[in-house]
Amino acid sequence: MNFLKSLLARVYIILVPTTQGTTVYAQLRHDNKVIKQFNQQSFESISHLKNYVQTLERESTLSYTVLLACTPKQGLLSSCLVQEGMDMSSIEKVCYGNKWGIYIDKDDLFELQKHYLGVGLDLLFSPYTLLTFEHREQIKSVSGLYLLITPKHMVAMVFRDKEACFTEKLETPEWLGREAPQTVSEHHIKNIEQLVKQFYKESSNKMFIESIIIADATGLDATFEHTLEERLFVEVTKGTFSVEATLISLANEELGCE
Amino acid sequence: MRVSFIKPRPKSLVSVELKWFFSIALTIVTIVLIAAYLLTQEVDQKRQELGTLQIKEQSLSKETDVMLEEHTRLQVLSKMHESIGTSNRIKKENVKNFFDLVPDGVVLKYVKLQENTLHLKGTTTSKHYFNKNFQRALNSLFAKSKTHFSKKSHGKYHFNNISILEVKGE
Repeated sequence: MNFLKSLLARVYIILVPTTQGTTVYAQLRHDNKVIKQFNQQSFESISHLKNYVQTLERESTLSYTVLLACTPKQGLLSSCLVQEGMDMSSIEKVCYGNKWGIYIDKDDLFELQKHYLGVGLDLLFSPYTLLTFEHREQIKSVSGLYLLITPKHMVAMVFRDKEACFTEKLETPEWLGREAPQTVSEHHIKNIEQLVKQFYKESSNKMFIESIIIADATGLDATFEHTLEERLFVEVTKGTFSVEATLISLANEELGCE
Repeated sequence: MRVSFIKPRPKSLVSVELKWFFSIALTIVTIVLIAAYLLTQEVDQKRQELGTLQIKEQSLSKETDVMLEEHTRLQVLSKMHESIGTSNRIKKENVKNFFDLVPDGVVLKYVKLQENTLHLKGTTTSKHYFNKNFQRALNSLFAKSKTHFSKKSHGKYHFNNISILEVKGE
C-alpha cells in the first residue's frame, strides 16, 4: 500500500486561520518535488473554503489537509507523563522523546474539528511544533530563546539542553501591518524584551538567555538584529522562513515521506 | 515521531469516479460473462440438437433411398405389367382376328403361336381352296408363309403351314 502511495502525487492543503477567516495554500508534490503550486487564497465563509478544498482534492487521490492550530490554550508540558496542576484528561499532547511535550486543550481541539468538519482535517499542528521543527537543527546545539515571527503571531520557546522549558505565543495586532518597517521592528523588539522578562520571572531553572534564534516570515530588516543585540546583550541569529512551506515539510515528515 | 494532534483520515488510492468506473466496468464484464456462458450453453444445446437432427436426416435419407429404389422397381413392374397387358390384349385380338380369317373349308387341328412364328396343322377340302381363301390372308399378315400339303384317303388334304412375321436379315 505504501509502495502504491509512493507512486502517486500528493496534494498538501495548508489551512492557516486568520482573524478574517482562513488562508489556504496548496502544493501538488511527488518525490519531494513541487509539481504544481496553487495561488494563496483567503476565505471568510467555511462553505466557500470547503468548495475550494474539494477542488484542490480533485488534483490527486492522495490529499492531506493540514491546519495550523492557533487556539490560545496550548503550551508546554515539562513532563510528558505527569504534569503537576494540570488535568491530563482535558488535554491532547504530543511528546518529544518521552520527556517534554506540547499540549492543546481538548475542547479547543474539538471546536476546531467541528469548525472544519465539512472541509476535513488530516493533520493539526501547534505553532510550537512548527517552531521546534523549523529550528530542529539549532536546538540540538544551542540553548536559548527561539522565535517564530509571522504576520499574525510571535511564537517563543526557550530550549535548554535540547529540551523546551518555556513557551509563549503573542498575537500581532492588525494595525501593525499598516505601520512603517521601523515601527514594526520596534514593536517586535518590545515584545521580545517582554518575553525575556517573563521567562526570567517564571523560569525555575535560573537560565540566562545568551542567544536568540529567530525565524522570520515578515521580512524584518538587518537593523532589527543589531538593535535587539544592543538592547538585550545577546547573540541574535535571524533567518527567514515560510509558514506554509514549513508546514508542508512538517506534514511530509509526519506522513513518513522524508 | 508523531507531532500532529490528530491522525490522517484513511486514504483511498482510487477516486470516487474511478470506483464508479470500476464498478460499472465490473458489472458490464459480469453481465457479458454470464451472457457468454448462457450463449455457450445454448450453442452446445443447439449443436447437440443439430447432431441428433443430422443422424435423423441420414436415417431418413437412407429410408428415402430405399423408398426411391422400391418406387423405381414398382414403376418398372408397372410398366412391365402394362406392356404385358397390352401385348396380351394385342395377341388376343390378333388370335381372334386370325381365327376370323380361317375359312369354312379349313379345319385347324394344331395351332402354335410363338414369338415370330405361327405353326398351323389341319385339313382342307382342296389345295386350291386353301391357297385362295387362306394362304393369301397368311401372306398378307406374315412376311413369309409356306404350306406343305399331303393327300388323305377320303380326298381331303392335310396341310402343314409355317408363317414367319419377320425374316431375319430383312
